[in-house]
Amino acid sequence: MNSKIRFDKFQVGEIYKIQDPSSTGKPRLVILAEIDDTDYSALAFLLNNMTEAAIPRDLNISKSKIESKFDVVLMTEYFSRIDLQNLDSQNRIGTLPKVDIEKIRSISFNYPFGQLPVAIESEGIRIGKYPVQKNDTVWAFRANEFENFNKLIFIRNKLSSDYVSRILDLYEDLSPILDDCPIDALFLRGRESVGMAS
Amino acid sequence: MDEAWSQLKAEFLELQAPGKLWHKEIQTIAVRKIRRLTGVPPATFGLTEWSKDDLTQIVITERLIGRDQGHYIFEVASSIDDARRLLATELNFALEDLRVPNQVDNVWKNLEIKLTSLGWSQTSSPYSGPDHDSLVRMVLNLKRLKNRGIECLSPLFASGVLDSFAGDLMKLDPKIPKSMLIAALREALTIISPALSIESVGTSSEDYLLASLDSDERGWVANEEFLPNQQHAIEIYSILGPEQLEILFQIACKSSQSEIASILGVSRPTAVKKIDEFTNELSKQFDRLGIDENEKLSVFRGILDLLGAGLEEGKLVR
Repeated sequence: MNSKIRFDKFQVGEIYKIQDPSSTGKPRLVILAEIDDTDYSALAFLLNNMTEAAIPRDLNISKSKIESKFDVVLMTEYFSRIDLQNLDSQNRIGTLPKVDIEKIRSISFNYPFGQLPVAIESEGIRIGKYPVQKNDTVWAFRANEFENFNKLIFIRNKLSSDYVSRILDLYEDLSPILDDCPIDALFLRGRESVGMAS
Repeated sequence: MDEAWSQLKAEFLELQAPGKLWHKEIQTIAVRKIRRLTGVPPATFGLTEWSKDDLTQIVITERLIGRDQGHYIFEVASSIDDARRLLATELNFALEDLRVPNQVDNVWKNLEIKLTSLGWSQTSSPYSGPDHDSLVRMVLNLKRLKNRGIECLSPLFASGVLDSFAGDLMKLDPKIPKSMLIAALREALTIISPALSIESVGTSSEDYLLASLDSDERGWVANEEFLPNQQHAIEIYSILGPEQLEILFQIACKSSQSEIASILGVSRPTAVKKIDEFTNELSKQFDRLGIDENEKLSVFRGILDLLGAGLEEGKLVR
């Protein structure tokens, strides 16, 4: 394993700032929902600070709940994979208990349309009240946030050479093993993976 | 991280609140906003006069400290541009909050006429209609009119919508108290009004800033050095000749070489030569000032601002 990276650094429910290394996307806050140690990526919900514009698909989370200095809005529809290396790991903004983030994830996925069910609410977690309507500027805001989030996410393709390079970078100890591995065997395994995927 | 933002961060870290540097930044944004609101009575927002100091104070106390948005900006912004955009949003929110009482008055004035025509009157009889939360939900779910911007009081509900709302209220309980209706309107509009002012929060900077500027304020923006790299833009602007500035504008408009030749009154090969000379001169100035690749666009935009250029229906005009 690459000695520079500590997999145990991040925990589910933690809130961090994410930045785009290419600087095309603006920094935002995300909350980790699932961490994949294999490739150092995670599934995360996007957060914002516009509590007034939280629609019934969003959750207003109080600062006391996440032990941060400000309230946040969790956008349940803005859920994607991110690269943990793009997080500002030195500065954890807050933490939502794991049980809460799992509950949010499960309920929001089970109810993909319309207002979130009241069951998702608990102390410090409330469904957004703003009823977005046709021509609302809130749509423009959400579209902008979506576009920006697209620049911050990590697209994982397990069959790509990028992914293999990433794994080899992360697990330097693997390189000597692969050096000794017959190239034909690797090729065969690769073909099997492609076959399974298709 | 740029120097200006580092200083603001350091100050915030030390005070755990916005200090003098933050105050100055917000003041600059407030001046810009006030210029944009020329002709709008301050009473619309419950103010007696347009004062940059008052607005700055409101943003700091109500938003940055009161709503802890100072901490949010401190944590999330990565550059002074990010911070300025987020602060501009906070100013918009502060203004929206200020005008809620006026909007409540307007909506109530219209609603009261419709209720009265249906036989409603203020009574002290016992009330058994919907509770406060239900009334708030009813108001929130009324179909709203398209927002016409944040400068003037844009009507929120069409007359027909209020007619129907008044009818529903009368069906629920004709003795519904005025105080309860106003309280419900106030809470509902406190959510609706600020949300209407959100469009872009620190995302597509170029479009957001340029499109949000009025033609009369662009010159001012240059003086206030609000736009990023404005100093560089002013310097390059003063070096370029009128012909080169025309070429710059035409390039920004995506004019063809033939079109530029026609505008300059020269042949196409001569225009090509002049365009080459201009691009070389611009590159030379960028290099001389040590402008990074990703800053060039904002300097270029700054020069366009100084030329009085802006977007109108998606087209660049002067």
